[in-house]
Amino acid sequence: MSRTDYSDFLCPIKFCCGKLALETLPAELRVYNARKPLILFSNKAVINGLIDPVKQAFDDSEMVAGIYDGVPESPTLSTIRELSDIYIKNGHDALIAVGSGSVMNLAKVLNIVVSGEPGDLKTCQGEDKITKPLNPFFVVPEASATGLMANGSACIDNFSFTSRYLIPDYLAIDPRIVQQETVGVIIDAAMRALSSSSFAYTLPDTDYFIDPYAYLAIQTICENLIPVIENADSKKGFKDYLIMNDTEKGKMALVTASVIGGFISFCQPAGIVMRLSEALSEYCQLSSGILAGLLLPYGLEYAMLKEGYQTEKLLLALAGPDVYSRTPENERGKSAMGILRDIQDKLFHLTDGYIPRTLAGAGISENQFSEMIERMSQNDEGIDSKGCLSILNHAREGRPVSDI
Amino acid sequence: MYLPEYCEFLSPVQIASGHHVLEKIPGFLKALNAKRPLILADKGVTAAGLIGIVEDAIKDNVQIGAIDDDVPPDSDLKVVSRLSDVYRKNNCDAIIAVGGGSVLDTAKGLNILVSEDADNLMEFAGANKLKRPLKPFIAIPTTAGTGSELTMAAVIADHDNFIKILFGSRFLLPDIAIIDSRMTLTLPAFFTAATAMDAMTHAVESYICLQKNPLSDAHALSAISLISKNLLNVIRKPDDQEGRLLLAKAATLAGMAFSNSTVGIVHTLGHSVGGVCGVPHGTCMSIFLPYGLEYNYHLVNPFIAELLFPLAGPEVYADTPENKRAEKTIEYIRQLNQDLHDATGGRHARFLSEILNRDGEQMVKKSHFDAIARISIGDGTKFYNPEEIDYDDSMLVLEASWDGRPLNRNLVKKNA
Amino acid sequence: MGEYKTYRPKRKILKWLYLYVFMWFTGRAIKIAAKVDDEVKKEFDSIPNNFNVALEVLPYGPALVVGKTEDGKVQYLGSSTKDKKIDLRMIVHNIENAMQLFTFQESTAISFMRNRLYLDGEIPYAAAFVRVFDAVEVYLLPKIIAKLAVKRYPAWSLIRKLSGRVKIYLRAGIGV
Ligand SMILES: [Fe+2]
Repeated sequence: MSRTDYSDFLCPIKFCCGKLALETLPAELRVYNARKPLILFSNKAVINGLIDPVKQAFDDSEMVAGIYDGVPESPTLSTIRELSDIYIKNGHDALIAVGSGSVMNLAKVLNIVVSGEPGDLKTCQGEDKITKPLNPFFVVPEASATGLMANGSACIDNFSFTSRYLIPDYLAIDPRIVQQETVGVIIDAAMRALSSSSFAYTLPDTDYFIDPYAYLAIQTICENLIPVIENADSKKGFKDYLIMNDTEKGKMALVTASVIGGFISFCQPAGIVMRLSEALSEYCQLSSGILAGLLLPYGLEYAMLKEGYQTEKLLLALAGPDVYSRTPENERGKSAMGILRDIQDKLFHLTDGYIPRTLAGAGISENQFSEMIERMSQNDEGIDSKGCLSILNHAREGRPVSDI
Repeated sequence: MYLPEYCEFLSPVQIASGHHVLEKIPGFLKALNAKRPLILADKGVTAAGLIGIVEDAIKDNVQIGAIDDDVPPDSDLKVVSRLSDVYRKNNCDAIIAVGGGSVLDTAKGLNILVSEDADNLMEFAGANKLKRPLKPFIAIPTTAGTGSELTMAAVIADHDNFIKILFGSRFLLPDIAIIDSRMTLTLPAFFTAATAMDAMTHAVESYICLQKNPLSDAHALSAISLISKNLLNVIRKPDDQEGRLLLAKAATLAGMAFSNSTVGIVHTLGHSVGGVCGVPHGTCMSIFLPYGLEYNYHLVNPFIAELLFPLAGPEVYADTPENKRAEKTIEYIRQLNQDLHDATGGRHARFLSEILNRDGEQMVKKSHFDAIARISIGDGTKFYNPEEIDYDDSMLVLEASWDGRPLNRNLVKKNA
Repeated sequence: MGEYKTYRPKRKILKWLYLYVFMWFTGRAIKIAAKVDDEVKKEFDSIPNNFNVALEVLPYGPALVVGKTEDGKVQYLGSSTKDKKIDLRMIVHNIENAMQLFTFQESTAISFMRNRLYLDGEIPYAAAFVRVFDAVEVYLLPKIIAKLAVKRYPAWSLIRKLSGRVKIYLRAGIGV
């Protein structure tokens, strides 16, 4: 099956991933004729010691960089004001955001202000109100990178913005930056990306331009998540300083996959799994990414039965051409779901039960479901309450969804 | 999966595809703040009625500044300079290029002149000379193969000085590429076959050459599978609009792959044979593709083996033992060439001695080999090929592809 | 609230010195190889007279400039591109990339692949220059290292390799 008519696709980000990625920053700034970047670090990035490698990447370049360390967890308009004063007063001409989450969000909003007139925040609010490219905006993600940074949305106080021009121009993923992170954070980011990619990849009408990105994200997460978690605490040996080891490559690949997942969720409406897991996360201690991983097979089974999602295709991305070719056609979807459940099972063991296998294991009780779905349908009219309840109930008991 | 220590990927062109996308151009222009586009094409495009289709699709909603279909197949500085006068005289503020490689390259050069308000294109020759975005630029490819709408390079000739000038910058890329099935619907069968094999070669080479990376790989695999599933059907049933669209999408995916990971010996030799004997690019690609795989076999056979899946599908893949898959891939491509040869009534050439011009004369002679091999060692694509390519190496492949003999892989020079 | 500072880039003096010495030596070696090796000589024959090639590191150098004079002699023109007519540039983006290349952690081919360096000029001449560069590396370096630096280690006779190596080392190093 194929999408017979219109499709529109754009991925303006330049990905740069691997050894000496940070050192490409000055050269890439030169492409845009920028000479004086302002580099923003989140508090966490400062604690993780990320300032040194980033600023040293500018050594032996002709560029004097401005460094702002300690962007607060929840920046406000006054933070924007302070930073835009700094940017303008010191003659900066590009932004580099290092870290994840809040600093990315802040940088996007800041870039609207410094690229235009001070009143722009009001006029640029909403969808597609920005009409021209902004100043160069580069990002350097940490291992906890969620998709936030690669999408075109940002919000601050009561303002929210959506535009292709908010998507960063350049993304440098460097082994020195993606090192320190807890297992929970890595799993959260990976599972969030796996969910959005899996839904995009199995769409009833294939979108051939999103397909490669989704395929890559799924393949990357499936091949690298478990080994990276298994080796999370291993120390670097002597040899590893000469040749990049697999765990290091795996971590970088996972960050890339997370970023791609975020980009995909910007192109596609959120699937049922992401919406449910956002809502569920308010009822328990677990993050929405981890919950999305748990709900994923159930959500896909539902989407296949209800809307014809091509779950059999997923087996190719998850297990590769060999397994796919050997599996009889009518069992491919089922096998794919089996692999997803397998990953969940392995994570459960590797984290000593921190990652649950069922919603019951997550400590969410059945009678919270209907209240939650009630609240969801107030904000979101298109939601299929019965379907949601069925997904949740199956996920609670760990029973595959076989009919609707 | 293959994870390199370092890689880059960039494909920032917006892709709008479908059966009725041309009608959306006025909206795209508005979003780009443009009002009066100059439409560029060549005579072939007009003769095929494509300019008419484009004009009809947009004229009610946008003021066309001018239409110029006088771009020759080997466009040069003078043409670009003449077009810049047309652009300025008609107060245009955007470019729409309809056509293949030459029209697109001309449009890129034109865009430099009119955006930088310059008269001398030579000031911008070379790599990374442009520092800011140019005027709005929409590309409408009409061949489903070249992928020039996705590459950051342009080649423009200087016929007075007998040189070709290279321009390289990300700002040369169009803002939007329009993939509309109507643009390729009337392409003759042998031409469809050749351009599709060009796209196939982009995908295959990007998958085996040195700059491959996970994102270019994913694009290449999709492209190969789409071409393999649709090419013969479209040749046999030329008005299959859906098949045409899928082939065009595949060519775009292949373009995204190779503009990031580049191509190797198939293009090295193809460029030279094109330059020396005037053979169309796609024809060279189909002929050299199996040889390119054989030539690099000792270095990349696991990658070649992986290509069997998108080429031949799960059944053949499962039935072929692992250590035979790379050879099977090569065999499959040879068979595809044979099938295309049969389906086009023999017009799709399988080897060099079979290439004929309009008058039925042989285009490549053995006496050309020396010149071809000499030019090959100076072609930029040789850098990206897994194995080194010197004069003797080129001769080896040329000799074998003269009459379609498989390459004797033992004769390929290897690391000493 | 956070704190704002400016960071003035430091110079990497040691790395620069290493590159300076290495590129100086290689430059002189190229000039001599053009005399002692037929293949290198042939490559230079394909480059026009009065033509200069620079391999340079951005933004502060060093550079390696070699060229052909009006009468076709191969010359080493020093470690700076300043005030010289350069017809072909091979530009390394930054000093770390140059270190990867000249400590043979990345071959010339791989450096191209990874966009560590780019070309500005006519590609056929660049291809010839890369072949010259490869040949000189085969002369100067022991096989185990040269194999990392070039794409295909050539099957030269031991005599060609050793006699060339001795001549180039002696004449480039101490000018014998
Ligand atoms: Fe091509």
